[in-house]
Amino acid sequence: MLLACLSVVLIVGTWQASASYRWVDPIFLPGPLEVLGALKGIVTDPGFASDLSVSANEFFWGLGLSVLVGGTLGILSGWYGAVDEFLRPVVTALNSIPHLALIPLLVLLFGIGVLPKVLLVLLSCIVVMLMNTAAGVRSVDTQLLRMAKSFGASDRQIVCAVVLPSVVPFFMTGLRICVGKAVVAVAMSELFGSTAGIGNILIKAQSAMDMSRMYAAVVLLTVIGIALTQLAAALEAAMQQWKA
Amino acid sequence: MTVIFQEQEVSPPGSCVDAPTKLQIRDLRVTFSSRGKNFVAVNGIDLEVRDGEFIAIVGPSGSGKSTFLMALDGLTPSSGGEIAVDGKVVTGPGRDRAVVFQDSCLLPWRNVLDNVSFGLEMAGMPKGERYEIARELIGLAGLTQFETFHPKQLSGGMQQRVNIARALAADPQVLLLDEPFSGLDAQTREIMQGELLKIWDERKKTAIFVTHQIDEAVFLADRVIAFSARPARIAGEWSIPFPRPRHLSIKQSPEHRALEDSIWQVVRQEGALAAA
Repeated sequence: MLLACLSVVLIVGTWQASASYRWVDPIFLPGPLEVLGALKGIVTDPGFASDLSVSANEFFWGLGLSVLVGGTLGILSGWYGAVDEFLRPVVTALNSIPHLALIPLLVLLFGIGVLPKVLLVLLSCIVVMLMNTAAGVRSVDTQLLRMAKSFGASDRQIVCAVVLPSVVPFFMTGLRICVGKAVVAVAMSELFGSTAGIGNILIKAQSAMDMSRMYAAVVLLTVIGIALTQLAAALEAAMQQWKA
Repeated sequence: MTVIFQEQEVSPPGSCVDAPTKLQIRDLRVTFSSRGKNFVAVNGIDLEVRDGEFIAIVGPSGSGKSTFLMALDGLTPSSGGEIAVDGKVVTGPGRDRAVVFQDSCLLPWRNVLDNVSFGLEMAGMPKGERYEIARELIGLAGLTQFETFHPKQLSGGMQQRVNIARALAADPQVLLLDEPFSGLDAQTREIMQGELLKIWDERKKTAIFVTHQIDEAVFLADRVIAFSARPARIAGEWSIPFPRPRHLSIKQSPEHRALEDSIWQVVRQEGALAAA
């Protein structure tokens, strides 16, 4: 923890020194204090709430759909070999394309509203959720299945009492990874054409040559990404205390 | 070769001689296929187990003891013959039988209380009732302070106590134990043998205990049955005369030793046949 703090202090210190001693022209790299001031400006801006809610909307819809659809398909393809085989080409393809390369395509097809952002988050996350959940189902201990059968459990009881709980750790790991991916997908797709959102604040500041505001938007995105990932990690840990 | 003890020479145990038949096995056959070939694991076993009787089954490794037990539970289908509990023919797993598994097979995300009440939960019993029954057995297994612990936090011996308590909580007619102490160190195993008898003396469930430890079989059982090398048939049968409750010290007695020797000779001979 101490070392982690030290590395942050070191980076911010170098950044401040660069501004003070003009190692880099402050027009291109304003100092941390100015960026902090600009960050305050962004957050207190009356329009900020609506920008935040647009990005949050894109994030939660995209992630929510990925979890729901990816999780369900993952359970099915983990359990039924036929579903796995049927989905495999799509999964492999989706897993191999760089998702950000799809942004221009999505903008062309769906414009610059909320929909293409939700779709990009979905494309970035659904395969991760699917593959993790499917791996979880496949890893179910067959001895435990046999034990449950021996106690006369029905198929439904086996799924609820044995299969789903064993999938939880895999599912939660997938969710933690996807939170980070979703933040990136929202920000990137907003940069490539948007009318609102935190990525939109960033790209507008850049066009206006307001460098402090642009860096502030980057910092804001970083902080949001870290906070959400930490939250997911805490949730992940809380849901598998029995593993300790 | 002289066999010191034949079954006729040993006086039968007093407790359950007159008890009605609990488990009836007639000409049981179990085959399984591996890589397209059929193997006969169990070939024509007849066995009658009385109510409250404790049977131990020994035999050389790979003799089909565990397969036999899984067939009794209905997890492995039999390919011939008949198994009946209280006259009712077994067609699959049922609530009249419960297994104590070799690996404890506890659900790692559930605490001791929820693991012990698993069978009752599957039977649809409401929470309050099943917890009451589970707590009673947890107490009997000496685990009351560990009720809220998860399996990872328990020693191997404690996990097996939970395993036993879970099977007993389901209140089966017949308890099937599949080498439950084979994964434990020698010292813990001895302690668990004593503990098992203590719990069993309270409940007097009809029990079939599969093991490869002959001393364990003699110490625990009313009757020891030796299986032949695969395909399994009954190679020998011994009544164990020691009165109950039994104390671990009887293992040191010459009678105990002599029985072990007698069983060991049969098992060793069968083991040699299997290796040949």
